[in-house]
Amino acid sequence: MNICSVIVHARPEQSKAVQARLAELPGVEVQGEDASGKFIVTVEDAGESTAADTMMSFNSVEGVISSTLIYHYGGDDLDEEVTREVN
Amino acid sequence: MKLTRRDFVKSNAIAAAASVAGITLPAAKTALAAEGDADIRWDKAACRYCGTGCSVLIGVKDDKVVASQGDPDAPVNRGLNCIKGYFLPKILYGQDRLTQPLLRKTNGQFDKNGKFEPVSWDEAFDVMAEKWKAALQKGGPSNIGMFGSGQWTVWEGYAASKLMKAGFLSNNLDPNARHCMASAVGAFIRAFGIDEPMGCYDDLEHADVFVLWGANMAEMHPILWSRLTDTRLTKEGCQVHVLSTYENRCFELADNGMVFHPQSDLAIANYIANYIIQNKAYNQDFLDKHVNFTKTPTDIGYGLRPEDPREKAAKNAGKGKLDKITFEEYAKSVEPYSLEEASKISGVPQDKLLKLAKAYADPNKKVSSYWTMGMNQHTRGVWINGLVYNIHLLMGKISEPGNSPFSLTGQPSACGTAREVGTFAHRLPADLVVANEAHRKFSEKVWQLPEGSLNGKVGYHAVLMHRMLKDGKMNTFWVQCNNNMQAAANLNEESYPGWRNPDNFITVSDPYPTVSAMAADLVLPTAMWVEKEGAYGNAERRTQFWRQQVKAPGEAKSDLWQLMEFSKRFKMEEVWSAELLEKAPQYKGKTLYDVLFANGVVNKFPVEPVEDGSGNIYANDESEHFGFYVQKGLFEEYRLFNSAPDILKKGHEMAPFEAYHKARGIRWPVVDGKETLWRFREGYDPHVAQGEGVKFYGKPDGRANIITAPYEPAAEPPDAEYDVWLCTGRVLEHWHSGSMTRRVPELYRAVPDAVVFMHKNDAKKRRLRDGALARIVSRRGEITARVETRGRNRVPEGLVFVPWFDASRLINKVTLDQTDPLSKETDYKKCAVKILKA
Repeated sequence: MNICSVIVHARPEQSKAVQARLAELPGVEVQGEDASGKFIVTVEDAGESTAADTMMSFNSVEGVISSTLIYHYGGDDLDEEVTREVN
Repeated sequence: MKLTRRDFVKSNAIAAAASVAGITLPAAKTALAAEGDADIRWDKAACRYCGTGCSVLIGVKDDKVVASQGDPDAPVNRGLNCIKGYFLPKILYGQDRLTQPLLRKTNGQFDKNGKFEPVSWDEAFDVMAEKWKAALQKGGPSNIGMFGSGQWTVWEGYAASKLMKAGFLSNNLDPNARHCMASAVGAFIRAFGIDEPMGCYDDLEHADVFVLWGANMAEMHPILWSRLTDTRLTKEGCQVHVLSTYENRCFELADNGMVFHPQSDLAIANYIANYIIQNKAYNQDFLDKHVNFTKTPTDIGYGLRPEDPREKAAKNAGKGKLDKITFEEYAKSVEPYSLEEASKISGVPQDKLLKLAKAYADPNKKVSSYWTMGMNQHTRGVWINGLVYNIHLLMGKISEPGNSPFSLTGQPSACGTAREVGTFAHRLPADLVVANEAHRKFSEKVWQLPEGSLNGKVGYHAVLMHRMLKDGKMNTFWVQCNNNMQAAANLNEESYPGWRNPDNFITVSDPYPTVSAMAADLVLPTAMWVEKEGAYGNAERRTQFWRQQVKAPGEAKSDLWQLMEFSKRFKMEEVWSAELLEKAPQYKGKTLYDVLFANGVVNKFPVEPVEDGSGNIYANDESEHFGFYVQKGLFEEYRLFNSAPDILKKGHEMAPFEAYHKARGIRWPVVDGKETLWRFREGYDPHVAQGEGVKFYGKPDGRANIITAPYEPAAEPPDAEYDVWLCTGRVLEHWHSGSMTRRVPELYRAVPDAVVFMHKNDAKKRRLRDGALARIVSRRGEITARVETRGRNRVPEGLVFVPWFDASRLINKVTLDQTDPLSKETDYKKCAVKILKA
């Protein structure tokens, strides 16, 4: 199971449209943006597509200037419950 | 509310990206991240792939690497990571990982034609040592050889260098960096007298103009490309000039994209120099104080076998001795390269060449030039590297922020290991060379060898090794940390017959059953990357360390363990002459291991717990096995070559071992605990005294060489039958021969097979449709691949491009084993092929 975060650059005037296009891809969620057209997405495995397959398709999405991977988790224990001590 | 690991991981992923991007998010999205990662231990490591040298944070849980992220504290990549770095954890866990030594056997005995069977390390080394001893007895030190790597850690390269040169007294040690960096090295030594770039990656923010000489940075150095892109998009007036023999992804950002005919870069560089001189734009003061003018012999052949007619016809085959000339003579030598002439030779329109020349000649623009394999894998590689230095030197645009001729590297430690610790057939550690008696004497002193023991004869270089194997003149060969059967040119006529020659015994150390491993007689399973403590040195002179993060699988052992353990199998009497041993009677009855590694220096430091700043303790399998801190001992002995008070060549100083475990890399020379960003310039480089301004101290007179060299044609241009150029290279998703990346399912799926990129008119002429199967045929061999006319690489008519990562389509059956006669580096970019319907 894979979870990734990615920074995407788009031209400011196109940023919203590009975000919408990416959000339609399986396992992709837009998490935040700034005024320069830059935004953050998370990508997860979804059905047949692993996170990597989805990310590698970003460069062919209209309006994407660059997409840079930041974080990747690939452990097989994502559904495990985590108990934390509460202070 | 029930929380799963997914909630924590996702929150961490978002927080990491937000911090790198400088985006503020609602607190709810990153709240869980603030509590830390559940059970994951994070630590820094240098990326395993290219020469950029990004730092990544590696997340380990239950002795397994499960996560990675760009290291936000790393000056190189500032939290960013490219697709290959991103899949780093997966390269350790390919399904066909080797976990036991494998020996070819029939009926329980070694048999060159037998099938691979698992054996113990003892049996593996017994058989191997017997073969090495027999080879030494038969032909002496020139009869054995080792082929190493720019992916070796610093101490692995150093240990190999010491084992071969100080132990076996053989200089038959060469790294795969011969295939990628040797021309760059040759040019550095000729122009500056000291290896490696004067500038650093900080130039990516300081420059006004970027010129890419053949380098496809967008795909091969994505992180540097993203820094360059940022500068281009945010700095007013910034320009990007891109030169290549085909259009690649860099052209999308280019202000001036130029596709030139193969080999004509020589003419383009000379035209720029001519333009600068004709317009009197050169920096007279800089030339007067800091530059000598020289010329190099011409008509030097193509590094082919001596009986090849092209070698016989060459007037000065292999020659490179420089002669001093005057400025006027230099000016005259480049005069033939007018705008018209350069445009005619190169096929680049005049207005584009003029725009490029003007950018270099503008005194108010800071220019950085970048290149990699296009200029190095070139039968005139040393020349063309030099011609670009000529331009920078004419303008004085060198050794200061933004003004930087910069040779990029393709491997993570081509600089730090291959070039710096003496793994080339002609080198000793820290820029010393075997042919120099004073250098040998100094090395003998450091290594505690009797005077006169080191071999002064340059050993076999990479290409010559395969020829010598084929000719039966080198009978044992040990390949570590690279895939040379796939990588070396002319597989059919040289590599394969050499390896399978019945007189030869070939050992390959690798984590995976590569083409090379499968062509060997003995395969040794290797612990890779963070399965051992390591150090790499990147292209900007930055040395970076990492701690061992996880255990290697099965019986896999690091290359370092293998080298040192193998040395225990040799008594000094079996490798040194009685006469030499008489000069060092204390070594009688000892083993190579005793003399080289238990020598009171390498084994000086006791085993200690390896700890990070947060109190985590890390394993160190080599130290535990040998009983001393192996990596520290080797590194500190290596520092006797580059940092001790009596060193022969200054400018290569390094910090003590401990400093590197704490830092995100340190750029040498390191003097008084400070790193150096720009060399040879007062104020930046501690070796340049106040008032000197600029000093190229690698040369005795402190002056750099401008070296004139003409355009000369390639060895095998297309003709009527073999009518197109073949250029080979890499793609973003796969690294080099694909040994690691082809084992990551997602990367394999994205780019499964090598294709032949060709122009649609060329395809049409041969009645080949996009996606059709084509034969790529040269005088030496052929492969088949599918035609791609619309892909990311858009080649001109008359040229095809085939990547070399694909083990099922070995393009090196087709390529020619031509080399730069000076650097001995193979030219993989230019040979003639024909394309037929399959």
